[in-house]
Amino acid sequence: MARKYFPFLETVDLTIKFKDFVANDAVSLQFYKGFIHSIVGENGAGKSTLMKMLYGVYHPTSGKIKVDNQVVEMTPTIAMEKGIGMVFQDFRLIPAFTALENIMMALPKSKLKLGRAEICKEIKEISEKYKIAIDPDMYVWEMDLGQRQRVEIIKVMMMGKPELLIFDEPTSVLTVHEAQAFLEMLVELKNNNIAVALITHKLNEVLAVSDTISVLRHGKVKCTIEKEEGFDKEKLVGLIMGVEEGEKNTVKSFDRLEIKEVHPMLECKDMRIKDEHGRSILKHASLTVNSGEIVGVAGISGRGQRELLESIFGLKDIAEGTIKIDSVDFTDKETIDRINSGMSFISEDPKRDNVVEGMEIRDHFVLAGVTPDSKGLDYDWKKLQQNLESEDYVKDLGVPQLNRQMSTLSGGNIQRAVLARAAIRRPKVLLASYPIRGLDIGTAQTVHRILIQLRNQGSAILLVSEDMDEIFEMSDSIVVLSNNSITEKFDPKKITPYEIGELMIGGAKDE
Amino acid sequence: MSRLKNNKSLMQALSWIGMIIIAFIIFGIFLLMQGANPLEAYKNMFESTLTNQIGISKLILKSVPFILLAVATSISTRAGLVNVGVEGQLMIGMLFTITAANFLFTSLPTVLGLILLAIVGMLGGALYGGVAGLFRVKANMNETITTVVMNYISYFIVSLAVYGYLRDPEGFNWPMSTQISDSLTLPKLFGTVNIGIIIALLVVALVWYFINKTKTGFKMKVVCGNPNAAKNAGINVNKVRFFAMVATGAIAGLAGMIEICGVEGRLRTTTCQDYGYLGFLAAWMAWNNPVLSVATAVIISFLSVSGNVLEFKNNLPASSTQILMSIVLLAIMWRGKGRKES
Repeated sequence: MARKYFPFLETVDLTIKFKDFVANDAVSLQFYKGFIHSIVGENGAGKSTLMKMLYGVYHPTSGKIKVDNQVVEMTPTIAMEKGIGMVFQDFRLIPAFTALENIMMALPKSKLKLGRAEICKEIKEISEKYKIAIDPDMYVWEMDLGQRQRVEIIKVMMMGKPELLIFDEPTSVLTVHEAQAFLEMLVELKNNNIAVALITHKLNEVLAVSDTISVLRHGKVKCTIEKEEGFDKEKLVGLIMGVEEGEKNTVKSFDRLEIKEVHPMLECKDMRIKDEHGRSILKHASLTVNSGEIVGVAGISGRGQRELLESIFGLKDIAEGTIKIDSVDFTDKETIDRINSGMSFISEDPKRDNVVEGMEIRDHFVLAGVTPDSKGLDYDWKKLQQNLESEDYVKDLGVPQLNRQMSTLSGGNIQRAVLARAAIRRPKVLLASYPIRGLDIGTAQTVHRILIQLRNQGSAILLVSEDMDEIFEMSDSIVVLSNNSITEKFDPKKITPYEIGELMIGGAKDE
Repeated sequence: MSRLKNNKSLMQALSWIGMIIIAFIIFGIFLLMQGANPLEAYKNMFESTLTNQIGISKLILKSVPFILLAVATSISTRAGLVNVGVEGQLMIGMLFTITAANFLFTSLPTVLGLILLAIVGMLGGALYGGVAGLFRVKANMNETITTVVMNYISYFIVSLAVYGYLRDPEGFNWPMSTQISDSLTLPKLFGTVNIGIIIALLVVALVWYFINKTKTGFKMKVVCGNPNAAKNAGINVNKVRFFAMVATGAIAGLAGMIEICGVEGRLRTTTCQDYGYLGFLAAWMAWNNPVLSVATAVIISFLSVSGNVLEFKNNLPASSTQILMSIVLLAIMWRGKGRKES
């Protein structure tokens, strides 16, 4: 396909420095209307920073941004005027407001004049046209991450007639079907002559829809490949991870050991769990996870994943039923008892559930049951730090320096720290909610390797994910959240992703 | 690295002092508008307070309750609560102390009597703080509102007692309690200054140690920083909060005991009124840092002691002191805006 005229948006030698750190180094890229341009790279490669410059959130140290061949000093207001819309990785939504209210807040005055009913109608139209289902009157705090993202996308699309839409990790929280629909939407946008910039870790998606792929590494554009030249997944992975050509991919296969003595480590029987509004989101839900077993939990987001894990971890009381850990009844026990019995929880949103403002990474390990020695009335912090620094998991996962403030870390780095502290304990039961969200391919593979290692050592792992590939690759057995309950276990070798998808949707019908 | 850090805290200290100077300049403008000479007024304030033993004694004596009440408040803040209740807890602490001093321990020897009174005073404050704590953790009632309301209630309780069972039969029907016996007075250090200041500084050191160097202090920091994270860490958020309310109350109650046994000797309806609010302000001026709140408590004490001079030497209205205090407070809060207590 020949490029027509000049690009809608072009960056020329864009460089940005944070103190001594060069986040983007002489980045020159072009975004054309009617084309999908994907940017791939590791965590910290500078993708999000670059996009934030395009949107005017950050200002480049040097270099230029051109829109329609004219140099522009970008600010978010100008970006909006020029028709540049951005769907942020961390959603800019106010939890206390409804979807409609959040969208209305972002709209220009001219559009607000239409009134609530008209806007609501428009939301419904877009939502139907692109198959992005949202309930405009639902409060954001009631929504899970998938639903929040749909609101965010619609919000950006409502803000004006978009010329360039930037998506930062858009599908990381979507289900297979939703992700498919999302990609179709991207193509729809492209056909409507909109320029699309897509940042994602999911190479399959990149390969499926992109017209152009640029690889960013250490802030520099390593290469830009056009569709006509042909995309090669293996080569792309190598480029992203900095593996020189000819060298073999560093990824090791995961060896699953046969576990000899299997016994039930986590037994949930006939649970009834209520959601925030007191409605029973799960009924007659039973689930057993054996030692040395990874049970994958598939399901459309918001079908009780969060409630299920929080109940098992004791953050939430269950209305009926029993929970046993290693054959001991824990139904009425506190979270701290469960932690002490060897349970670890990787929450779906560690920033919300784990990060304490003003505390070092080191301190956060103590919060998840890594108990340091006592020294007087205090903990022996020095010794803890030494112990942690020598831990393999801390090194393998590339946890940043332990005395850094946790709240200043990026989402991916927070995830690394949270995973390391869970793995260190070699937990009896590990509840892992979206463990590789926000991680680059390399780290995600390390995480999967660690999960298999823990499994081989006898941990019982409950893995919640909406990524079908992950569920099928990792699980010894799969259950589906559907029809307000949990299905029986399925053997991943005897069932197809398509059948699992059918079961998930079976749950959606009964709403 | 560490030099950089030192410079940073030095800068903070300097800017903090700078804000106080700015406050005095603004108040100087106010004095000019009132037709008074600001330089002369400030000279009077400093001379009357800092150049003679009586002034210094007054300054120290008045600092004690402010120090204790500020430190008490900062404990609650460290558990993520905005507790304005030290006023009421101080009142109840005084009430418990005077009641025990006049009806139970009248004939006890000094040391034993004072120790028991300290315990009783702390118990009173702790109980009153505990009630607000229960409201918070059991009924999820906002502690700021409940404590303000309970402050008013405490005035009425004190009035009831002072007009009733506490009233001095030889007091010419004035609403005040009987004087406590001399044996139950706090020992003096020098002049009129009693050992209350030493107790207060000890409490500051203890609270600082407790907040920064113990496991419970660590838990409080988590609860304050992110209650959600605390729940995920298996920390009983309600327990920590309740404990903080009780501890705040106990220290406020101790301040009440020191006031009764060290300064006042008897309870009137207006004894120590508004001390709690000033202590609360001292805590927030010090960004809820227990050590820094010693400084802010002394400043508030200085303003309230030296402010009287303005009234009789410079012919200014009595409320001028309060205006000066508000300006100083706002100036410091301005400097601290957006800053998290650390």
